[in-house]
Amino acid sequence: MALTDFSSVYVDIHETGFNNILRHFQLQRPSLFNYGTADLLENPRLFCVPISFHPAVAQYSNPVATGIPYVPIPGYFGPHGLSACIQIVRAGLDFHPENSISPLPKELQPLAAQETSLTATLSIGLGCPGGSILEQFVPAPGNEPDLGKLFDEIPSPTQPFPSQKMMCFRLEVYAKVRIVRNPPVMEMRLLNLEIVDISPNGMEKAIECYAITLVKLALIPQVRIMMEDLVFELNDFISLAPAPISADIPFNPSVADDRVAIFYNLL
Amino acid sequence: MQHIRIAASEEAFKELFNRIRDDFSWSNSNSVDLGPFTAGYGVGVKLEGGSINLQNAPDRMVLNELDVVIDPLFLQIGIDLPTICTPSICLFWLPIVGCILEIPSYCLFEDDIDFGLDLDLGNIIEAEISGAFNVVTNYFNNPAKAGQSDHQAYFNDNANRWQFLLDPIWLDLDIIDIADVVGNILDAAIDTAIDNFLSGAPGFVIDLIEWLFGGIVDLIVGALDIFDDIDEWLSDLLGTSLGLFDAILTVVAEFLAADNPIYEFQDPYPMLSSGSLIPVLIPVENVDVDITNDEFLVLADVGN
Repeated sequence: MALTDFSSVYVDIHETGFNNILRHFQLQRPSLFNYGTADLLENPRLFCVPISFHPAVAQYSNPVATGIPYVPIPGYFGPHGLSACIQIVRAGLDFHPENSISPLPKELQPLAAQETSLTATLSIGLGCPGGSILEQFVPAPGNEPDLGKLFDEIPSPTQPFPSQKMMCFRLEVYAKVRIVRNPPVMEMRLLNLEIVDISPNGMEKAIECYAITLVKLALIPQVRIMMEDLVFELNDFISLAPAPISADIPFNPSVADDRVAIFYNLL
Repeated sequence: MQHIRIAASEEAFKELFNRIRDDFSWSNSNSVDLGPFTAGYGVGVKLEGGSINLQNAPDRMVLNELDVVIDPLFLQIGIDLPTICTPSICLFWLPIVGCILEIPSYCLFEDDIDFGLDLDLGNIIEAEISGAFNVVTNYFNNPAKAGQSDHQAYFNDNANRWQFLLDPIWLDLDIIDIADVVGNILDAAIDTAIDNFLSGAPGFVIDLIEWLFGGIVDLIVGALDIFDDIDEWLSDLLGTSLGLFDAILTVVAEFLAADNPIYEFQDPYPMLSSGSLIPVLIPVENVDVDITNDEFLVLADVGN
């Protein structure tokens, strides 16, 4: 059976190739994988995990991390906040069937047809000022914050507390997604997410819920592909566009046999 | 197990071939001195019809009966006959006085081009090209990249490239037919040339030529060395003497194959190349092609 039995052009990529591409992204665009407050950007050695990057990143003065705001302290309206960092230390995917990411957490099993599993190791750090340092920032008597209005106004700190020590921990995150056509875009649909080994269980569920909401509302929309962007020309002679869904092509893209494939037709 | 597979169906390949074929056009001119006459042509060539089929074991693409449309084709022939001068003839001679009435000497064919023939041979010649090609990959190590990093080479447009080249296995141009009307065209051109030659000549000159050479048409045909088969004469003149058919075959072969890659891409392959940050360069390895009876495949790996 030919790959082009039902389309003019067929393109696929194996999960090994995809994961290789992901590693090149991690080295050449470290700012997509490392996030930290301004003090960590000035001194990347403060990150929980040393950031590895391609020599061209430094040669062309590209950032090694993306800035995030200092963590505010509600009720404290001074200029200081807590340093923080979030790093994607390791990431990979597994196209159906389940093999390169195995075993999946039982909450995500089984990996069904047309599904893709994702895994990432997150390193999260929070700067913790020592107890004696904090004493100098305690409000003087009479300047206590109004507990009833503690969250009415969230401050926007511009400096880190001095002498912080980064408290780092790692989380293993797994997710299942499905690539869907939602004209005019092609996007990933998050089916489930699991963060391993957080206790108590209720806190794990709450954090997973927050993560799912964050991914669905903020992250996945960033990686949509306009279907018109999948139309491309070859040598000015040929224009190709994704083939429509049909009985012969029930899924396009199609995830199967450890590959993701796209079927194209000539325009 | 290849990381990346790209397959094009035979139908897609045929469509690509049709569009490449339709994009071809070529014009040229040439001339040659063949002694008794000079010949020159102006030609325009397009391609029509034909088909391309994919074959497995051995892997090749077979080109069948690609029509070569030779139109326009203008053939200009200039005939230079040796100058001939008639002696002066004395009609009345008296002793001592000498000749008192004479016909002066008259010279014929003094010009460089005594007879010029302009032949419009557009769409007269039917020709076809057939052949077989393979597609080979080539890794072009750009000499301009020497000493540069991959990103430096990218920004300087000096990156190495993977190239796909058509490798001709064989290629032939066959002259299928020369339309019978070529004889009429030649006759008409000769008549016109004779009329132009004789338009200012005295009547006795015409009689003289008839008496000396049996007619001007025979003179011209003799100078051009045309005997029984005009088709063969024309084919020989255009093909062998003027080299038109070899020129057509060469230019079609170069258009379809030769040194011009039919496709190429940078290695490493750039992604996220817009914006102010460096592109992400993905190394591509082990690029190969495979031709089956149904499709044309490009295979590659993503480097670590």
